[in-house]
Amino acid sequence: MIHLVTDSTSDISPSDAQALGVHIVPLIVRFGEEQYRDGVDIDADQFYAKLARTDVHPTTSQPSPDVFAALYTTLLSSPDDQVVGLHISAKLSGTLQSATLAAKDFDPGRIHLVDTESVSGGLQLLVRAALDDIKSGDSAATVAEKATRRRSKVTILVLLDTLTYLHRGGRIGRAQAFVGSLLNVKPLIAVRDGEVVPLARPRSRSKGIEMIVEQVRGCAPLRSLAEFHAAATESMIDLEQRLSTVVSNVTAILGRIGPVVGAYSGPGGLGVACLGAD
Amino acid sequence: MSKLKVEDMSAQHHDVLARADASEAEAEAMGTATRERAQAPPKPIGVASVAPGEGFREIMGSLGADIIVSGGQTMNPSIEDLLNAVRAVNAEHVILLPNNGNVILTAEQVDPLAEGCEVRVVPTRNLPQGISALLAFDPAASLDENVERMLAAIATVRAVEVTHAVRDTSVNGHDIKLGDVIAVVDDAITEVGSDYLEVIEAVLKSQAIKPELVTVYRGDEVGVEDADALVTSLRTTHPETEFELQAGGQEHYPYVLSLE
Repeated sequence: MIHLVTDSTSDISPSDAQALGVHIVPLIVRFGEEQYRDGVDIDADQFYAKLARTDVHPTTSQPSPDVFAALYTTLLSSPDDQVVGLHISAKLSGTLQSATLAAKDFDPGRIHLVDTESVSGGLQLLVRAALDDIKSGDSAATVAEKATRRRSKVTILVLLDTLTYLHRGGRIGRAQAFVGSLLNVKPLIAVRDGEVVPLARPRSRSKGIEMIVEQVRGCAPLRSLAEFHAAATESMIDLEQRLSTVVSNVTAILGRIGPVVGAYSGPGGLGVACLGAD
Repeated sequence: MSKLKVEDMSAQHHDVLARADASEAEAEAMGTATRERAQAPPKPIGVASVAPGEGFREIMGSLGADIIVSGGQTMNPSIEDLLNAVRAVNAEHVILLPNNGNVILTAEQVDPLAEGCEVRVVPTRNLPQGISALLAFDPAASLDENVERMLAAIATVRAVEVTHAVRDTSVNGHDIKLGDVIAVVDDAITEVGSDYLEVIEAVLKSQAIKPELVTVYRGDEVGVEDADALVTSLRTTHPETEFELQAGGQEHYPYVLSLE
């Protein structure tokens, strides 16, 4: 049997994970001394409520190799078991590194790890596409290979309220060029080749949403689409309404930006991920 | 001068302002800056922008302009001022933002004089257009791409410049008396009245499409409290529009508004 493993930056809700049969390894989010496993000890609601109450900037860390090793041991109990692991961009997190270290103690032919160069909704779309491949009977190696090929077809766009969280968290990449604006702007960023890149500096959220819709239109034909928000429900409703007029052939997966990714997007973040057709 | 490449944008921002001050202070200082910068390899693309007032200069620096040339309504920069600024950017391609209708022709004469550097003028006619152009700037994109982005951006912003009439006159059917408050919308006098709020309200009322965001740049002769009161009043009468107040520091125009 092929087991699909991902990490909590895929922002797959626990109920979806169970329904899909995906194993999720949690990253860690910290507020000072307090430490929580993403999606296990803290959910999105609790995280954003806490973020609003505290001056402590949250930090995150990758799961330890031990966590992966324990999961692999459980999943590889029968000789025909195999693991495909799809993880957050190695340029954004050391999660894949932990997984790779853990995998060294197992038969290399049984664990197939992929740097998806993606995160959040983008990672989730790749996970869901890989599940389809498993269902259609592909081998573990083929599933991993297809995911690797597909990652270039993923577009991730995020409209932020502020760059503060991305900046403090050290994941700002080339969007550094957007830091320091004395005018109020809503930075629109993308995740490209696994890194954060700046796209535009709309002056209003509504204008930013318009830009997202235009970008998504340019990605057609789509295989799948995901929309995610960090405590920005109203904006997501607005986005969903505007997107549904340009993307009619796919049903969008709607979700929350979870604690670990939210520690970088900050509250108010609004994201879209789309996966181009194969 | 390699500071321009340092990660800390605010340091870069101060560096920009420092150089802008140098340019203003004396030509010699600018000459020194040019020589120092010339030692570093030129970057692919940079921006020089013309602005009056400390506030506008700071804002433009914060949005990524490499150098700000002092200048405005009654103090248009010379070709030499602009040429020195373009050289000081030390880039292979420089986008020049005149930000005033009277500066565009001067700006267009810089390119043939700037040896080893391609200068492209994005014909911004006012400060709001200049800000919009800078917001659209992407240092990773090509010159053509940037010019295209900037031209598209300046088409989406409407500039309102509020000032006082300097003499009795009649324009566009308006009888204007010395000292009247007048609003110039995209280069044409459209409203006349006795106070700022009245005139700005008239301009907002006349817009076919309600602006989503209005940025109010306070001139050097307007106090913070007066500007706050004006914006508070505008927010009350236009709850659907977002208002942002900034210190522009421009002379002659107590208020400059950007309607988006």
